[in-house]
Amino acid sequence: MQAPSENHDNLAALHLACARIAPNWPLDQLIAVNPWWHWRDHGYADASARLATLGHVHCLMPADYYRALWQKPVQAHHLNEAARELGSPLSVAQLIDMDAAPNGRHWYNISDLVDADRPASAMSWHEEIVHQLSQFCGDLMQQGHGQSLNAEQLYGAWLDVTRADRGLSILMNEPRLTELFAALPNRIEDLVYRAMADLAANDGAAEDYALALLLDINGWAASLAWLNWQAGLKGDKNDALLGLLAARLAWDWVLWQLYREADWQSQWQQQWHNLPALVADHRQQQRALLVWQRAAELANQAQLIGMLKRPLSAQDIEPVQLQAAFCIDVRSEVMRRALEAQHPGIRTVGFAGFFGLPLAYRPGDGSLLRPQLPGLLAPAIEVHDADTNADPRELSAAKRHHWQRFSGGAPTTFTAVESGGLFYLFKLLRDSLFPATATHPVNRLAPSARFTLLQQGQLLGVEQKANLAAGILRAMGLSSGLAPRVLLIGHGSSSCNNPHAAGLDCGACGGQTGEVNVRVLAQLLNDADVREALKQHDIHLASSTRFVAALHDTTTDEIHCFPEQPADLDTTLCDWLQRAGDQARQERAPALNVNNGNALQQQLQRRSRDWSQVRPEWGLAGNHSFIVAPRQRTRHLDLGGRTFLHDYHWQSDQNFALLELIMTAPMVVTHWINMQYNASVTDPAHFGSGNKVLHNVVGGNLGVFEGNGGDLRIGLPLQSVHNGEKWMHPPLRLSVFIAAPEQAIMDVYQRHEMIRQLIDHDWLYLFRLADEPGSVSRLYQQEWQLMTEPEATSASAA
Amino acid sequence: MIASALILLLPALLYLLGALSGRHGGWRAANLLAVLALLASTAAALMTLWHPLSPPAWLAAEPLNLIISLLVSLIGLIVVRYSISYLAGDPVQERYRRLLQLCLASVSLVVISNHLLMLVLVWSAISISLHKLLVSYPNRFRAVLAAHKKFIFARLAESSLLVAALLLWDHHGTFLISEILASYSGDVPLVWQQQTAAVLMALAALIKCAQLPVHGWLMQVVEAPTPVSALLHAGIINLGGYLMILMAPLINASTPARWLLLVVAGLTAVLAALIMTTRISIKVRLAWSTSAQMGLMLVECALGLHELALLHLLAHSCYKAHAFLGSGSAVLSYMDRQLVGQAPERLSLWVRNALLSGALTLGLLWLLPTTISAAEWSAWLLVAIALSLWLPAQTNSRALLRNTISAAALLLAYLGQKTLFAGMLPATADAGWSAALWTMLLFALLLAGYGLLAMHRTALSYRWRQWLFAGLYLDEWVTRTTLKLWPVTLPVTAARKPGQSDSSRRDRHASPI
Repeated sequence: MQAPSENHDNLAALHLACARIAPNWPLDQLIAVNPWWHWRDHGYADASARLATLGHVHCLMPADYYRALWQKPVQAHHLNEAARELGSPLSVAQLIDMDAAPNGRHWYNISDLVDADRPASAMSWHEEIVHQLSQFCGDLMQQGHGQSLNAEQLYGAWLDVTRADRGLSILMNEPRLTELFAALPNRIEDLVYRAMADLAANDGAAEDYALALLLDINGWAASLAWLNWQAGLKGDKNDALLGLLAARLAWDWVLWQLYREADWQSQWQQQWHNLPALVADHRQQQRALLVWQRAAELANQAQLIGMLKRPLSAQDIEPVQLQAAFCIDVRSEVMRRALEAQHPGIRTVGFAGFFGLPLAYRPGDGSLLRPQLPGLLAPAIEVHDADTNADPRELSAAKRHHWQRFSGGAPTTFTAVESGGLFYLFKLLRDSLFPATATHPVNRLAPSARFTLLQQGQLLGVEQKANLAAGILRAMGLSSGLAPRVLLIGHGSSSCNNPHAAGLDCGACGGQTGEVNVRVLAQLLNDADVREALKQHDIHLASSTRFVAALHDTTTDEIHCFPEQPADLDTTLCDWLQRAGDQARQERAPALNVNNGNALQQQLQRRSRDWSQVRPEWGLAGNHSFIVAPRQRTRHLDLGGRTFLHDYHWQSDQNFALLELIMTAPMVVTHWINMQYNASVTDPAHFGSGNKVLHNVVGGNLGVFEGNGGDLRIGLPLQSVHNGEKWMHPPLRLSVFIAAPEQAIMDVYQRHEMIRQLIDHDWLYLFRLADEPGSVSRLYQQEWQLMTEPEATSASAA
Repeated sequence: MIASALILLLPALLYLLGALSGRHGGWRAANLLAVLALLASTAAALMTLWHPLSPPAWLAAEPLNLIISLLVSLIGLIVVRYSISYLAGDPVQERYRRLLQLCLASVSLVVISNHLLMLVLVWSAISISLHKLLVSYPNRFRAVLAAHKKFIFARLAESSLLVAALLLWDHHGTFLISEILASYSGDVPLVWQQQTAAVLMALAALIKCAQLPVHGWLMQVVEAPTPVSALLHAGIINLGGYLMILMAPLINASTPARWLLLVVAGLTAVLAALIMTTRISIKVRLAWSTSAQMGLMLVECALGLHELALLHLLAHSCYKAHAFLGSGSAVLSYMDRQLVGQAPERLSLWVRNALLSGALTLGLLWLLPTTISAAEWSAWLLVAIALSLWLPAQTNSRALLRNTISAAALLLAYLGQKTLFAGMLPATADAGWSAALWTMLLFALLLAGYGLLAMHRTALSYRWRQWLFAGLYLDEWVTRTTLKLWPVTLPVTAARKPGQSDSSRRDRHASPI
C-alpha cells in the first residue's frame, strides 16, 4: 500500500500526462496543430523514443523511405554532417545498410497483455475499450456537455453509463465485469489511489503509464484537450481530459482484477522497472533514422540557402501601380510570383491572413459566433452584419434544417421518404452529372455586405478603429507610399462533400476563408472618418488610394474581388488577376494530375464541385520553410509553393516589437502546420485521420471515425498527403529564415522559453539572413554559426 | 423472344463484361458500360409501354421487374461514376472495380428472373461479391467481424430461400414464379409446403433487410468505402422487399408469414428509428435509418399495401444513395443547425399541430372518391403523426401558415405517388383490422418513445435513451453467439500484441492507402 503522499504524486503524474496532449480543433474550425506541441521541452529525438516506446508512435519515416533519398537529394556529405551534428558514430556505409524494420520492445498496457493470451477469435479488449470510451465521449460531446463538465463529472458520467451497460459483459463473455464496475471508486482520487496501489510497480513511471493509456485513446484525448485550450484563451481551465484518463485507468485496473491469476503479471512488474531501458533501446534504434532525417533536411536547407544567396534583382525603378497583400500561406507564393510577373509595377506583401484583425464573426443575428483568427489568440472584436433583416442565409439554412429534422426524426423519417424521397433522384443526377457549386451555409456573403464592429458589446469608435488600422498598416509596411489600388487578398478553398474542407481554408483565420477579415479591413481603411483620424497617427492616405478586398480560391487559383465601389476595379486589374491565375493554375496542374491544356480553369472548377473528389487540392503539402524578410529578398526566386513568406523590414521596426510578434505568433503557426503535415506522414495511423473513403463524420463537427467506430481520428487524411504513388509531403522540419540583426533575434530567443525550446530541441531550425545576400547564419546551441560555402555550391548542383 | 431476352439481359451482360475485362479497360470502360446498361433498361421499360416484351419463361418483364431494373442501372451508374475519383490511387481500386461490376451484374439478374433456382443462385452471387467488397481492407478488425456476421446470416437467408423454392417445386411441380403465383387466386387454404415456403421466404426477407436482432452487420458495414454503402443501402438491401412484393400472392395467403413480418419488421421499424436518433456518427445513423425503413416497407407488404412498399423501396433508394454519397457534407448540416439555433418546443403547441394535421389528413381523405381500407388507415395515421411534427412548435403565425401549406403539399405528393404506383401493381387483398390495429399500436408506441426521448432531464428519459444508445444490447448477444458457434480469426491492431514484431510499419508505408 502506498502512503497518501505517494498517491498525491500519482495524481500529479496523471495531470502531467494530460498536459502532454495537444488540442485538436473541431471540423468546422479545423486548423493545423503540432500534435507534439507539449513535448517541446524534450529534444525531438527523446520525444520520438519515448512516444515510440509508450504508444507505438512514429516521429520518423521508415528506413526504406530514407534509403530512397540516397543521391537525390541526400549526398554522403549530408550524412556525414548530420552524423557529426547528432554525435552519431555511424558511417555512410552503415547508414545506407541500416536495418529495414527496427524490432523494438514496447510498453504494453494491461489490455494488450490480456489480449495476447486470448484466442484470435475472441473480441479484443483493446478494441472494445477504445470503442466503448469513444462512443461515450462522442455521445457526451455531441450533446454539448463537454464544455460544462469537469474531470469528476466526466468520470462520474462514464461510471454511470458503464455500470448500466449490460452489453460489455455479454459481448466479452465476462459476467464478473458488472460487479467489478460496480465496485469502482466514485471519485478519481480514490480510484487512482487504489488502482495505482495494485498496478504501479515503481513510482517513477506513473506518468509514462498514464501517457500510454492516453495514447490508446489519443483522438478523443486531443478533442478534450481542445476544451482546455479554449478555456485557457479565456483565462480559465477545463480538466475534463483527466476524467477520460481516469476511465481508461479504471478499465486497465478492472482487467487486472479480472485476470489476477494470469502469468503476464510478472511481465507487467518487470516492464515498470525496465522502462528506462526500453526507451534507451528505442533511442538506440532510431539513431540511424534520425541521421537520415537530419541529412534530408540538410540537403534541403543547402538548396534553399543557395537560392537565398543569389544576387538580388535590380532595385525596382518602376512606379508602383498595384499592391497586393497576401496571406503567408505557401499557396500564396505561387500566386504572388504569378501576379508580379504580369507587370513590373506590381508589388506583393505577405502577412498573416487574418490581417491582424482579432475578430469573431456573427452571421445574421443567430447564435453562431465564429472565430476568425489564429488558434493561439482569443478574439477581441465581434463583427456583425450591418443589415440583419431577413438574412437570406438564415432563411435557407432554416429551410434545410427543417427538412433535415423531418427526414431524420424517428416518427417522421418514414413519411419524409414516402413523400419526398423520389425528389432525391433529381439530386442524385444533378450532383453526379451537373454539380453546382457547394453552398456553404455561412460564407455566402452578399456582394454589398457591410459590417459593424463591437468590442465588449460596445460599437467601436473612430479612434479605436484608427488605432487598429494604424497598427495593421504599420505591421504590413503599408503606412506610406501606397499604390492607387491596394488589394487585400484572403484565401479559401472550394471543395465539395469534404469533412476536412476547413483544413484547406485559411489557418490564420481559424479554419475559415479570409473573406470576412479582408472585407472588414477594406471597409475600415476606405472609411473617410478613419482616414481622417489616421492622420493623428502620421499616416496619410491619398483619397485616390482605394483598398479592395479579394479572395484567392486556392483550389481553382481564381481571385474574386469584392470592391466597395464599381470604380475600384478596372479592366487592367481584372486582366492581371486573370492571367496571374492562368499562370498559377498551369504551375499547379501537373501535381493534381489534370491535363495542362485548354480549359484548365473549367477543369479545376469542375473538380472543386465534384462530390467524389478526395484530392481537391494539395493544400499546404510540401511546406518546409518560412522566410521573414522584405519581398525583395525572394522576388527573383521560384520557391515552388513550399515556403511561407512574411514581409518584414527590420529597419522600420521600433524596439523590434514586430519581430517579437512574428517569432511568437506566425512562426509558431507555421511550425504547427509543418508538424501537422510531418506527423500525418510519419505516423498516419495515430496522427493522420486515415482513408477518406472510409470517413464517417462524428457529432456533426467533432471529427471523423475511419469506418464504423474506433478512436476519433485526428490529423490529415491520407489522400491529403499521398497521391496513391508517393507522399506529396516529404517530412522536413521547418527552416525559418529571418532578415534581422543577430542580436535582435537573439534577444527574442532569450526572452521566450517557448522559442528556445523549439530551436534548442530541434523542432525547427532558425537562420538569419544578413543584409547583404551571401551570408546566412544559424542559431545553433545558443550561438550564431555562419553557414559555410561548400554546402552552397553542392546545393546549386542539386 | 430472343430480342426480348437480350434487352432484358443486356444490363447484366454489360456489367459482367466490365467485371471480366482486364486492367486496360479500367474505370472509363466501366463508366461507359454503366451508361449503356442504363440505356438498355430504359429502353426495355419504354418498349413495354408500346408493346409488351415476350421473354423466355425464365425471365420476367412485368412492370415491377422493369422499374426495379431501371433503378438498379441508375444507382449503378451513379455509384460507378462516383467511385472513379473517389478510389483514385487506392491500391484496392482494381479489385474493387471488378467486384462492384460483378455485384451490379448479379443484382440486374435477380430482378428479372422468373425462375426460383436462378433467383437463389444469383442472389448468392450478390451476397458473395458484396462480402468481398466489405473486406476491401482485410486488416480492419471491425470490417472482418461485420463481414463474418453478414456471411453467416446471408447463408442462412439463402438456405431458407432454397428450401422454400424446393417446397414450392414439390407442390406445384415448377420453379417458374409466374406459374406458381397464378394458382393463388382464390381463398384456397395453403398446404404445409406452401405455408412453410411462405414463412421461409418472409424469414429470408427479414434477414436480408437487416431486421432486429440480426441487424448488426448492416451498421458495421460502414467499414466499407462509401459507394459500397450507397449501393448496399440503395440497391441490395431492398431485395427483401422486392421478394415480398414479387411473392405477394403467396405471402398474403399465409397468415403466419404475414404476422412474422408484422411483428419482427414492425418492432424493428419502431426501435431502429428511435435508436437512429441516438447515434453519434453520420453513417451509422444512416444505417439504422435503413433498418427502420426496411422494417416499414416489410410491414407495408404484410398489410397488403404493396404500392406503398414499392414507392418506399424506390424513394428510399434514391434518398439513401444520396445521403451516403453526400455524407461528407455533414459538417454543413451542423453549421445550418448552429445558424438556426434551437427554439424550445412546447407540448401544448404540438397538440394544436396534431389537431391541425389530423384535420388536414381527414379532409383530404374525405375528398377522395374511394373507400379506405383498414390497412390504409394505419398508413394515413403515420402520415398524420409525421405532419404534426412538420408543423412548427412555435406561436409565430406566419411560420405556421407557411408550414401548413407545405404540409398540404407533402400530403398531395404522398397521395399522388401512392396512386401512381398502385396502377402498376396487381391488386392484392388487404390484411384486415387486426393487422391494421397492431400497426397503429406500433406507430403510437413510436410517437410515445419519441416523446419520452424529448423529455430531457427526467430520469426515465435518461434511462430510455441509454437503452436505445446501447441498441438494446441485441447485437452484443448476436456477436458473442456468432463467435462462439463459428469463430473467425480477427486481425490484430497494428503491432498491438506483445512479442510480435512491428511488422505493420512496413505495410503501412508500402501501401499507405
